[in-house]
Amino acid sequence: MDVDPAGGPPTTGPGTPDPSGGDPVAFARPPATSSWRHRHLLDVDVLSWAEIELVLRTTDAMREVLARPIAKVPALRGTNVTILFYEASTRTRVSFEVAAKNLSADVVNIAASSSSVAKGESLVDTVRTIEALGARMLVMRHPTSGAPHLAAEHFGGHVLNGGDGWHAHPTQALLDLYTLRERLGTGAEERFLRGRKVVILGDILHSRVARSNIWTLSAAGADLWLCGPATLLRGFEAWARRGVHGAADGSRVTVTSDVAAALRDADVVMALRIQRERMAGGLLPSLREYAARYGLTAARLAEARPGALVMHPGPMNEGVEIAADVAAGPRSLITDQVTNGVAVRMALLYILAGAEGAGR
Amino acid sequence: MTDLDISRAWLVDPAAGREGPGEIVVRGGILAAVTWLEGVEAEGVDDRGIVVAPGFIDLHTHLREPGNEDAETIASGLAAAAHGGFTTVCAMANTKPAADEPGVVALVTAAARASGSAVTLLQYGAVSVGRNGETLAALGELADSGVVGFSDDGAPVRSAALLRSALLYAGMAGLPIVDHPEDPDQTVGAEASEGVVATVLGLRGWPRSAEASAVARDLAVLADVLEDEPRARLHLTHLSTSGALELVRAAKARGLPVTCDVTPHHLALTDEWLAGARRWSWEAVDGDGEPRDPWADGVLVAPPYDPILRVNPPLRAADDALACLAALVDGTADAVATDHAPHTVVDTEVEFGLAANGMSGLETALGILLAGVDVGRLLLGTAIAALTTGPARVLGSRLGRPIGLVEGAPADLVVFDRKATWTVSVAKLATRGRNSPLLGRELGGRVLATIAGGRLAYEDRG
Repeated sequence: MDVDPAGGPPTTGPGTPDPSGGDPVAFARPPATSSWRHRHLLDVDVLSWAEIELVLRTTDAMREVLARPIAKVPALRGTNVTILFYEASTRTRVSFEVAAKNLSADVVNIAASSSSVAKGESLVDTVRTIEALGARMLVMRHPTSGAPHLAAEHFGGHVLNGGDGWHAHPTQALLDLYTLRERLGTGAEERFLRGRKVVILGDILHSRVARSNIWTLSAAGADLWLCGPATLLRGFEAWARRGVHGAADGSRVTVTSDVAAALRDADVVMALRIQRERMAGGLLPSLREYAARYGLTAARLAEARPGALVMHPGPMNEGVEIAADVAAGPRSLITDQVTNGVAVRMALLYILAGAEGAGR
Repeated sequence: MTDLDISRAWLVDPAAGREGPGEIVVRGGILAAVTWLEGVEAEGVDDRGIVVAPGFIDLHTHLREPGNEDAETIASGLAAAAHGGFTTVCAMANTKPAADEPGVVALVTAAARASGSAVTLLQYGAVSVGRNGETLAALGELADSGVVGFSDDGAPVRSAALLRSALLYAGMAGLPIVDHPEDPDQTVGAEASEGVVATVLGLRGWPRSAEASAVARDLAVLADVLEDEPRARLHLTHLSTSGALELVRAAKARGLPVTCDVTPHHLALTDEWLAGARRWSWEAVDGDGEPRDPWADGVLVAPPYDPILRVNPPLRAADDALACLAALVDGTADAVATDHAPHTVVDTEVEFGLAANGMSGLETALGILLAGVDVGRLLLGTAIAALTTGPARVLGSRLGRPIGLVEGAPADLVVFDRKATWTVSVAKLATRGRNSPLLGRELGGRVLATIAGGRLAYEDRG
């Protein structure tokens, strides 16, 4: 598979994963794809649609690998993938670890709390040390927005952002997009969410998941609605007015505190986690009030289109931002998101490993 | 003592309200002659670009000594001042220990003398003991030791009650309280000005109202104490928002004894630099004053989240920067102050949100202002006045010297070539704080010589 640099549809070519086949030899080593221009994955906002499409297609191939009796290919054999998390995480960290191991990488896990970081070592020194220890790919999560950009300045290999501050969670946005394409896409069409109303509901302000999804979902053509209490939406109205990714990009984003208006005729509702510390910060009166006014309940979801899809990036506070029966209901894609997360991360590790010498 | 003859230069003397072609002669450190040229003699002088002006005064400098000499020493800071055309700098009190008692002031004064620099160092005292915002420092003793005002800068004067006492005590000595206006409850953890750029980058927002509400508080307290102490004076430093400037404008119209300054970086840089743009504030708006899109092709040319750009108050959007420029033009802002804040690499080569606030500014202030002059946003005379007579007005008699091109006085002046450019580089900077966002950038206004108190403080050697 390869993608026309001019942005045309992907075509199948030699030496690259074949989405339709089960030939393990196809994954012997990562391909160098002319359509992928980045050495790192720091954010989704720099990805062209052709690059997003490459990720989605490669994820198709990785899904096929995951369906095999032994879900393992040799693509990253001998490659040290170091996973450095400055924040607690279950699904993202384990998902990356499983993804890397499925590609036969050597995986090193570092929790900042039990490393020299706890002794005051700077991020730059930590990154240089990890590289000196042989890491070729660095997956990192950090509570400070932009930290992976700093790491990328000082790391000779590939940096994958596993979530930074409030800023970006690119692999989550890409797995969400992939999950939606499975249900709503009909093939390789570019703007497969055109005409679909997608709602992101909850704490938009503090959400890196929301920020990355705002870009990918609008790039896919969604009629995007951001909904939550006004205290958790500050700044987004101005962003929406300007256009999500630059002026005049054609995206349509509505920012509202009116949950009924947001959910009316929605095709997809993505609920976000509400954190208790928002109350201490004076942004929410109480979780009870939030749940009563904005919680995604079956009654609220009834306002959406029949069969509307429900998503949540996890971890969930059931009974607060999402009712347990909705989270576990037939419209929920939440477990699909987790499974697809492994496939998307496999695809991204695979693509980046082939991206020698590319730019940021 | 210096001798100097400069013929056919462009003289700027804001104290006399005059600028034009002329000649100056310095003999034995004394400004022996100032001759204004007219007619044929004056023809073409402006084209040469050599400007002679009174030495600049910086109302807001952080010298880091004592306590953080890795970032700056008094000697390196004064060398940076001279390189930037400054002959007087006012050092903030947030050293370690803070300048909250006369012993620290004496130490700093002695270090300045020992440095051998011709540049005059004036010192602020802290408003509160240890700048803790709780207990009033020994303002009377500090005044006796020669401080030029009081400031807890780095932080605002924490409570209105403390500010009230400080204004009364400082008023008795005829000295200003220099406040850093910020309502800290609104800025907890703030990393960038609240707005589109902060939203997109996921940075914690510093609301503009946190500055305006603090200014409103300060002005209310000032108005209240004047009845008891008519000599009370308030100076608001590094204002960065149109709302705060509007409050000062109205207060001045009411006759309140308030002055304020703006920084070069808040005039010319915007928050879109955090996203990787590198254009001046006036380039970030179109002809109608509407913001241009920084995410448009080709505008974002540098990596985002450069920690050197973290500053308090944060870089604002273009409309606020242009409001600062307008305030300078209409006199609402009395002065340009650098807020020179040198830091070590250890403090700045870190995650953006963990970086120390502040950027190095003494050596680039003139170049930034001249960029504004070149595009017609400022008159040269206004820019020079903001660096000379404006700050002199704030300091009053404590400046200790006449300002202007005054014959018979010790020469205190800067000579620069407004058309010659220089590239900001670590090798060129005299400050230890290499945390300038303008590194690698070409600036106009190359300083050729700085003469302070009759002595050569800096000379361009090519």
